[in-house]
Amino acid sequence: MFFYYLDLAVRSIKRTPFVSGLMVLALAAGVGLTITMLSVYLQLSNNPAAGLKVQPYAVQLQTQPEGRETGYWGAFRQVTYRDAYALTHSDTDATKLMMFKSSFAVKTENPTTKPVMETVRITNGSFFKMWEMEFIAGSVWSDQVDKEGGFDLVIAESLATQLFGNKDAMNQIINLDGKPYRVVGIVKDYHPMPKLYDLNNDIFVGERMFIPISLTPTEKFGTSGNNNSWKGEPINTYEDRLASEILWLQQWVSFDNAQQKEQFTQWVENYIAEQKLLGRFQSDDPKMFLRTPEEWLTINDVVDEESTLMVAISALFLVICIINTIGLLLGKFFKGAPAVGTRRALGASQAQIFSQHIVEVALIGAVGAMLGLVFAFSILNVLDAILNTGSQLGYGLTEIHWTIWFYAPAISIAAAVIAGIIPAWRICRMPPSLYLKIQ
Amino acid sequence: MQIKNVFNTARRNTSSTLLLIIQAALTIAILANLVSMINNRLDEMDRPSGIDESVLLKINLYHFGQDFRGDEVLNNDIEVLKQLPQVESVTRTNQVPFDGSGSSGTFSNKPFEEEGGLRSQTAFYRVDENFAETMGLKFVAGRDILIEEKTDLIEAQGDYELHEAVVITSQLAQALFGRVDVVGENVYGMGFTGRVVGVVERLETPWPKWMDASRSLYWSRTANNAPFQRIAVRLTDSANVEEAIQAIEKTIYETYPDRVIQRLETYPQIRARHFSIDSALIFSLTLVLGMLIAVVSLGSIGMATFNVERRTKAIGTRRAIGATKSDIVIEFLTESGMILLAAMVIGIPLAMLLNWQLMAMFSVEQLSWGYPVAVGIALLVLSLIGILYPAFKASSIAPSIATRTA
Repeated sequence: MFFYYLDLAVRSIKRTPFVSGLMVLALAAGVGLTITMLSVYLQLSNNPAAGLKVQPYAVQLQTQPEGRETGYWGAFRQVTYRDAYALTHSDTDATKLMMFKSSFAVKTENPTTKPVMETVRITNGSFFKMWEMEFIAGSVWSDQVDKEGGFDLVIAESLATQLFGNKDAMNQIINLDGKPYRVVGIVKDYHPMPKLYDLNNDIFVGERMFIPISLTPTEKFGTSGNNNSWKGEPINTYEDRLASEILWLQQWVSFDNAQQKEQFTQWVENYIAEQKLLGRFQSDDPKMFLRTPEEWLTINDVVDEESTLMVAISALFLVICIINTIGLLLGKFFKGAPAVGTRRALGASQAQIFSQHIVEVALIGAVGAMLGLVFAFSILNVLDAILNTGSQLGYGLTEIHWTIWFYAPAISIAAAVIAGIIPAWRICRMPPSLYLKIQ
Repeated sequence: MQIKNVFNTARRNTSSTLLLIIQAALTIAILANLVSMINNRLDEMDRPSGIDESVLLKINLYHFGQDFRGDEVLNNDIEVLKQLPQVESVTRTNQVPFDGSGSSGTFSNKPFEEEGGLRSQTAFYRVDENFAETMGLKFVAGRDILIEEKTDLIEAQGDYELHEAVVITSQLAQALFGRVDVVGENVYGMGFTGRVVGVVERLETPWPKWMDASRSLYWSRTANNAPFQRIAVRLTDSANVEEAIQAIEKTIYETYPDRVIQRLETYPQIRARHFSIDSALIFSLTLVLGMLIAVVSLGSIGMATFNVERRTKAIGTRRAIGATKSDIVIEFLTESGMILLAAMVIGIPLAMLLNWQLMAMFSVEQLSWGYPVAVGIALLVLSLIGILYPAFKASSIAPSIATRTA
């Protein structure tokens, strides 16, 4: 029966090519726009940690006195160096990581190459474990390096190719601001969307170079991330900075089991009590918060207001497209009323007439969905080009989100069927005699 | 007569008439909001910076040479760059308008310890003595900072920075003092204090999208030997920008090779970067606008064509009993006009309602009544034009049709 209806639908569409084309276009426009904006929105609200085997937690530590934590830069989203250091080097079994972002002039030993600027993540070895990054050669630097410092370097595959071409990058020397580092590991490029582990800035650009944070006190690395300071304190030397209350590092922890979490939480509670006793934490009841990736994305307000606004606007537009289609379908179905009258007189039930017309609109919807996808793809490309101007945002924000392949046909056919219900209902309720008479 | 006929027709086709009214009303509501949002964003992107954007370049330099002495190297750069025929002047500054990176802090007309001071989030520029001239700032009161007016660190007062001379924008003067000519007044920040010697008409912050309009100040920079340095170059009016950029890049690498030009940008590039999200939004909104008009007008033509076909017999009958061709045309025009008028009655308040809803959820500005009214009138005119063809087609229906198909 379905294929018979499909055949009838194709014939009916062929009979009114202009109006059918209009409906397809209207649905394609409405659906195309909606899925474009939905795709951008989904891309922004994506949780890149969803696939990790062990859930990481972002660490928030209430180092500020009450009333200061909601200042200009928002609630304590970063940690001080001294706290990050203490927590990371605590005698607990959790996987702990501290880090910040910096940039260096990068130059290989090859005298003909020009130096290039590259953003570098300065972190400890747990980074690669926590984000489950895949090494294609070598490995992370040793625990020894994490304790005592060492000029070791892990780079991403794409950077290895960029700097060394086909040559093996392992054990090559790369100069960062003139200091030689040795490549000890090469990882697959890791660009979580968005960059969950550090949402302070450039949240769509992951780093391609990683060096040990244990070098920080001696190498006096600058940061290219945000510095949030709430306390007016003189910073004259790098040591001042490391001992200061400036919030400029990111810290994450993960636990293999509940005991580890319990042990870590206990340790931090003792630490907080100790710091309060020292007069450093001035809050009445200073706390540590462990935030899940979902919570962290919400706290950091990753989804741009503009993208939510466009989802709302495109949904309104889709409503207009549906209303428009209802009008056209009413006209189209009534034009075919005499044929319906004949079919009814020959024994077709109301339900059959209704199904027949719904199949027809679903077909129109399906064609509209396909066209809408093509359309969405081209808008996304233009948006990508605009947003990438001057690399303020990274790449890929406007790639089609994978769930769209399900949403697009669903939205389109649902829209078409919603548009089709009233006209199909009206036409199946027509008394057959009316149209038989005028024939 | 026509109106009565129109009402009769409408009664007989309630659903399609209602649909047309709802569609047009929604269209008015959405279009009005779209046009208003696009206009507001365009205005925001057009905001003046107070500097001569067309002749300015911004250059970020990153130095990796060992024992880099920033002041020596950069002061030499300025001398060498000024020799280039395309270069008018050069300034060292920690930040430039619209660039997205720089320093800000809270400033007040009273020391922070005292109660009752007016406060404002302020962008602070640390610059050399060539700044005002290079950027092309316009003074509305007082004068520029002088080369001998320096910034001193007063350690006794808890590391307060004392600035002998500060120039502030008229917007900051208004915010802190309620007037523009504030030469001789003091401004206070967290760890800073300075005497105002001049007021400029405008100097935009590095983040106009996120910070209150143009509340900035500048004072002279202190010694800076950090690897990261920023300069702004003013080109001569006749300079070819492409050639100038090439010459400047070459000179920069020649005078001190151990560095990277991290970013060299013209103002159109800086603005495009700063407003990329706005551009994307304007593009998206304009796209919706265009598609909405296309879908609704094509759809209306489609429905009008159906209407003519459906009413063929009725029109034929009316022609047979004496209605003239122009009666039929006028009847269609009246019908279309009345649908649009009804749509305006619903659509204009609906536009305001939609605007309130959007304002509650997003930072959208208030819609003025003019937008939905103008959009409604425009749609009315469009639909009258659009109905002309179907109307004339209907008027040419022969009266004999009525007799033939009964």
